[in-house]
Amino acid sequence: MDMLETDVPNAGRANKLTSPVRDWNPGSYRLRDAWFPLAHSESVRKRPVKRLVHSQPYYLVRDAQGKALATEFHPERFAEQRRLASEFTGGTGEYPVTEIYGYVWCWYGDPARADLSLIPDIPYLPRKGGLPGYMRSTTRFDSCSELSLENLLDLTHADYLHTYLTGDEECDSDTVTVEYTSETVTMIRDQINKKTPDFMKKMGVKSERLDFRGVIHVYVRSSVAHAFGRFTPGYSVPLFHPCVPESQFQNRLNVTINSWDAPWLFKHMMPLQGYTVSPQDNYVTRPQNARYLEPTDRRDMHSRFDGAGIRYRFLMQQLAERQSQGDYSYLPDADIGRDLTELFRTIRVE
Amino acid sequence: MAETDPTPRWWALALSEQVTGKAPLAVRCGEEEVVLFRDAGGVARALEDRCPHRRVPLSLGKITAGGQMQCGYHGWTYDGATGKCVAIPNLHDDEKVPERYRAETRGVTERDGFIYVWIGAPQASAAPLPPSLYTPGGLREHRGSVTLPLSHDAFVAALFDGPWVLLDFATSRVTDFLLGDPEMSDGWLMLERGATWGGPHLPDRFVPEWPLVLRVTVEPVTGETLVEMLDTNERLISAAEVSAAPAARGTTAVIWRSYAADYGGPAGLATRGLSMAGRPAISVRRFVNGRKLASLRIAPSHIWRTTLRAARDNAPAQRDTAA
Repeated sequence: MDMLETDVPNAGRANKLTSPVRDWNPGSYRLRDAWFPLAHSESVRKRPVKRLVHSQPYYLVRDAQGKALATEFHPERFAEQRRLASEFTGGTGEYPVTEIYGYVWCWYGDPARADLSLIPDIPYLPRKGGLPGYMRSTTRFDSCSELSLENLLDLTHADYLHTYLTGDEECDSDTVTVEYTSETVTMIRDQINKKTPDFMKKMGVKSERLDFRGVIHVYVRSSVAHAFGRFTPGYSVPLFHPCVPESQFQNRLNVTINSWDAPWLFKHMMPLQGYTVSPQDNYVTRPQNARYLEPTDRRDMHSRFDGAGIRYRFLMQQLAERQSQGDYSYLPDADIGRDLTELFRTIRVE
Repeated sequence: MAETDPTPRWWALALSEQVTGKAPLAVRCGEEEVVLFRDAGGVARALEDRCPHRRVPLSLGKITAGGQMQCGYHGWTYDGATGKCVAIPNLHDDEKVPERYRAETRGVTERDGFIYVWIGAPQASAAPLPPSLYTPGGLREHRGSVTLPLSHDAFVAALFDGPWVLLDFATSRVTDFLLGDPEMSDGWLMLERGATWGGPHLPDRFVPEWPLVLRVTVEPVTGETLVEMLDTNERLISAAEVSAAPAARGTTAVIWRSYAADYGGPAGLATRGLSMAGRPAISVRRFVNGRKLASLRIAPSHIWRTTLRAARDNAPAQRDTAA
């Protein structure tokens, strides 16, 4: 059978997009009204640090009581520049901000619509934060967040770019399942009886073959993502993977990997892999970015492994279209804060 | 001139040795990005350097054991001759890759140690290569490649107005003394100027006769150039073939081959000796002196530009034919 461009495998839903994906211009969609984890809590101190969401500046700082603040202008120039405050701070110069799961989250959109129930559930991170520093890292991708998320949503790329860590494509079966709401895309990849990756062998996995289940859960509006992998036999790799869209050409990953149930060595070594995996991804997404800057009549070709990516494109365009008409609301099916323990087949870490 | 000249042409974009069956090679001609590699039979293949799946440069991938081009991102694999996508990893047995899934092919051929790629309408790729002017010779042939920070237009103009700014001559010195205007012959522009053996010399303006002649023969659009150092009896001392293509951000990618001919006398022996020892008789400089380049007077390049303009005025008929 031929693989049609609009075929989207998924569980229990209609198997066709309601309309074809139009020209895809990643980097051009600036979706509003969402929380963004702009920094690890430990990165925000008394000296301001600057972060960006779609080029909008956020100065993060702590007040004398240790409370995180986010302002539109550098605190030293806040008084004189406050009169220039934009709609993103409702003219006050101060963004809605909260701190949970070890991150400082800021609202990008109309401050009046900032709602804490729109913060995603992260069952594998303690709500109060405080995880050790070796579990955290910050990396940068030289591409817009959309391309980084497409990269994540099609895990078959790992067979080629991250072979050492996740193993090659050879396995008895390779199944991709896609689920979605109006705000999220979930991709579940099940590989049965694949060769044990070299990294896992070094971490003490003795079996020559193993099963891999990777769950990618993406919040389209905020570019926040979970990547929850499990090697059986082996360990879990719960990765919080927010791609903060700083500009059309760059996104920032404030990553936390909490393999809480793994042995000491794995728990310490796994987060370090980000320093090799990120450059490997950047190797392709960096040149990719320039090739999506201009509209083109040449459509991308897809395989059935791209179902999640196509759905992501479609949802992004749908949201952009709604927002261009002034509709920033969340539809009833969105359920951004829903409990994800069942999806990840994990316990809640406190 | 490829930035502005749409006339389909064969462009020499790589040296034969650079294109292998081991690793793909990314080359460029203006806005055209091409990946070159050799298939299992050793035949040079050229594809657009863009995976149709996610637009990643194919040159970041690898060549499979079967001599096909595999994208480094998701493993989509393409046949070099047809561009057809022959494999998407992990499909089920009952799934086949759609026939229309293919990378764009480019016409490619090989001659005299250069890989030529057809840039332009694909229907016209049956056009013959321009005639070969360079025949490898000598005891040792040298070759090289370099990307220079000047435009292709400026590069070709400098070949006419001051080749010494771009080229290094091991045992001779090229002067600003022109031996006539550029002459068009069979589509190539040929220009000669005086040259001397190296060493101490009088200022050029006090020298009445030149023992050597530097002849450059230039294809006006591509800038492919035969460089010959001759004595006054037109006996060849050394020769080089230089090909240049417009690269990214206004730079020029240059490839070249050269050799010292079997020429007698102490100077000829010195030239060949140096060549055998590793110093090419003629080579392209790795760095261009911007001050020297800027100070070149506009002279024969004016005729080249006039010729080019006239050719472009006649170009629409050619393009119609090609399409």
